[in-house]
Amino acid sequence: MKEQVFKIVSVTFIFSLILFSGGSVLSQVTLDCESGDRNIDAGNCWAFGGVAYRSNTQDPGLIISGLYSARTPQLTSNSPSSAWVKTPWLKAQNGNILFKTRLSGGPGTSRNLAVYYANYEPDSPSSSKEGEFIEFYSFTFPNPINGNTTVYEISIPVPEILVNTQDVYKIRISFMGSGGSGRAYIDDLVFPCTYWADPPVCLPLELITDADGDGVSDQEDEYPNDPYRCYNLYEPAADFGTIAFEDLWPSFGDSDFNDLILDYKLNFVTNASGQLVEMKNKFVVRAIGASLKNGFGFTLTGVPPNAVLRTQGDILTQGIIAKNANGVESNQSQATFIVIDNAFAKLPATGGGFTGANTIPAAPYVTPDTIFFNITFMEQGVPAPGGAVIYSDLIVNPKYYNPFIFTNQIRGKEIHMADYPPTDLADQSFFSTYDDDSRPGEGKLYKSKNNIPWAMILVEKFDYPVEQADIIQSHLKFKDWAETSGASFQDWFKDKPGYRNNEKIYKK
Amino acid sequence: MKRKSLLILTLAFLGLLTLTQCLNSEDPRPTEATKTTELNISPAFDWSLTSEIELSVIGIPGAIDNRKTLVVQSEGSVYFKELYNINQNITRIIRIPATVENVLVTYGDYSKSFSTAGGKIVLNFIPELPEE
Repeated sequence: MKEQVFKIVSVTFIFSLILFSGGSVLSQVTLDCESGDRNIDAGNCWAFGGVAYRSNTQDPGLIISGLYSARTPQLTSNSPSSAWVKTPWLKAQNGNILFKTRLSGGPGTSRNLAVYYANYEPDSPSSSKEGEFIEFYSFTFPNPINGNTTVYEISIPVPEILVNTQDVYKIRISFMGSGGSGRAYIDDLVFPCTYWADPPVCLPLELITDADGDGVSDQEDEYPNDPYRCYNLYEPAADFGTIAFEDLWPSFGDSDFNDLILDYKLNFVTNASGQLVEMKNKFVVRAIGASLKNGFGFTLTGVPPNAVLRTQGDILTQGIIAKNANGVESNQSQATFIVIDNAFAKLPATGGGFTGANTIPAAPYVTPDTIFFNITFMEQGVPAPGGAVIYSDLIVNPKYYNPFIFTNQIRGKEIHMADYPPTDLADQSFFSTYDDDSRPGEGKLYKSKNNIPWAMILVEKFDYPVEQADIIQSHLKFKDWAETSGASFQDWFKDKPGYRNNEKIYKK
Repeated sequence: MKRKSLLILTLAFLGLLTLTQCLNSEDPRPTEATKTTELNISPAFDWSLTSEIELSVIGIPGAIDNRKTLVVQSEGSVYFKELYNINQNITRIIRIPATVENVLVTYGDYSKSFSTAGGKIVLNFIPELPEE
C-alpha cells in the first residue's frame, strides 16, 4: 500500500527557508487520491472538473496504485473544460511533473490529455483569480481505445517560464475524447513545486509579517512586538457589564438590586498558545444603595492560587483580608481576589442625611472612580508555579468568574450569584436561615425558597432602580423574564418601549 | 313605580354578578406579584443572561501548518479568539449574551454566519463537492 500522501514536505521548514533565505527550496506537491475523499483534497485546494475518486472495490483492476484513483466521466468532449484535475496555487521549480494515467478500456474513437498552466491575476473579477490557461503539453492515447488499459507514466519538464519566479501558478490536466463511453484514470501526481495556497479560501498564500515571532501575524496580533502576549479577550465583550447586589442576605431586602452596583470589564490577555498571561480588570463602584460597608471580590473557578504570580491594584483598608505573597486571598483552594474591602473607599457616601451614593435622585451625585485590578499569571513566557492557565479551559465552566460581596465587614458573610459556590471562607451557617434556602448538597445556593437571588450579573451597563424601587416596578419585563425562566424578554434590562418605568430608574 | 325600579335594579345587579362570575370562571388570573420576593420562579432557572455555544471546528486533514486567528463575533463584539491551525479539529465553549441570535466566525479571509439557536455551531472546513 502506498504512502498516505498529500506531501507538503515540512511546510514550516519551507516557509522558514523562504522567509529567511529568499531562496528556492526543493519540494514536491503530490496527489495520490489515497484520502479516498475528494472533498478532503478539495479542502487542500485541489480542484476537480467532472472527476471522482474510485476505489479498487468499485473499479477492480483499474485503480492505478493504492486503493484509490481519480476517474474522469465518459470522455465524449474535446473541450478541456469537461474533465480535469487542477493543482492548488504553486511556486514552480526545475524538474518534471509526473503522473500516471490509463484508460478504462471502454470504447472510444479518440482519447487525449493536455496540461496547462495559469498564473495568478489578483485583479481578475473571478473569485478564483486564475488567468488564462495555457497549454504546454499534450498526449494522445494510442488506438485502439477499446480495451486499452495500459498505464502510462507521463513526465513533463516544468516550463522554463514558471521556474524560479516569485509568481504562483496552477497546473491543470484536462482529458478529452470523442466517441464511445471510455473513461480515463489518473493517479500519483507529483509536481516539483512549493505549495502556495491558503485554505480554506484557496487564494495564494501571503507571507505574514510577524515582528515578535510568536506565530501570529502582526495584522492579527494585538501585541505585535511582544512575543509573550497576543490577544485581548473581554468579558463582557462590549463595553462594561454590571453586577447588582442586594446586601441583606440571608434576609430579603427591598429588591432594588442597587445595594452595590459595580460595573466590570475583564480583559484576559493570552499568548499565541492560548495561555492566560494576565488579567487587566476594571471595576467601577457606581452606586451604593446601602449603609453597610461591603467588600467585593471574585474567584476564578478552577484556578489554583499558586497559578498567580502577583496582583496589583486592590484597595484593602479595613485590615480584615489576609493575602498570600502573590496577592491571592489566603486559605482559599481556588484563586480568590478581594478587590476592595469597603466599597465606600472608592465611592464615598453622599452625606447630608442621605444613605449611600447615587441611588436617591434628590441626593447629590458622586462621581464614580475606577479600580484597576491586574492579575499576572505569566512573565516572560514563564507561568507561576501552579502552571499555566489555558483560557479556553477556564471558560468552559459557566461559573468561571464568580464575583461576590461580603457584607458589613463580616468576611464570611458572602453573597454570590444564584447557584454560584461560596469560597472556602464563607460562613455556611448563614445558609437556610431567614429567607435563604441554600442547600449546598443539592446545588441550590444563594436563592430563597421561591428561588429569588440576591445578586445578578448583567452583560451590559445596568440602569438600576432608584432607592427602594423593586426591580419589577422599574424594569417592567423583568418579571416575565424571570417567571418564564429566561424564555421571554431576555433583553428586559434594555431601554425599549414599554420596558421601563423611568421614574423608578436612577439617572445621574 | 318604586317597585318597578327596585326590580330593574335587582335584575341589573344579578346580571352584573353573573357576568363577573362568568368572567372569573373563564379567565382566572393569578394575582400579579408586585414584589420580586413574591415571584414564583422555577428552581431550574439560573438567572443568567448569557448562553453557551459549543463551537466545533473540523479542520482539513493533511493541510499545511497554517495558523490564523479564529474569531467568533457579533456586531463588533468579539466573544472568542484563538490561534487555530487549519489541520486541527477543535471544540470550544463560548459564552455570549443570551440576546445574540447570530454570530460571525472568521478565519483569515474566510467568514461564515451561524445562528446561535440550539447552542451548537459546526464549522467544517472540508468543502462538499457535488457528486460526479
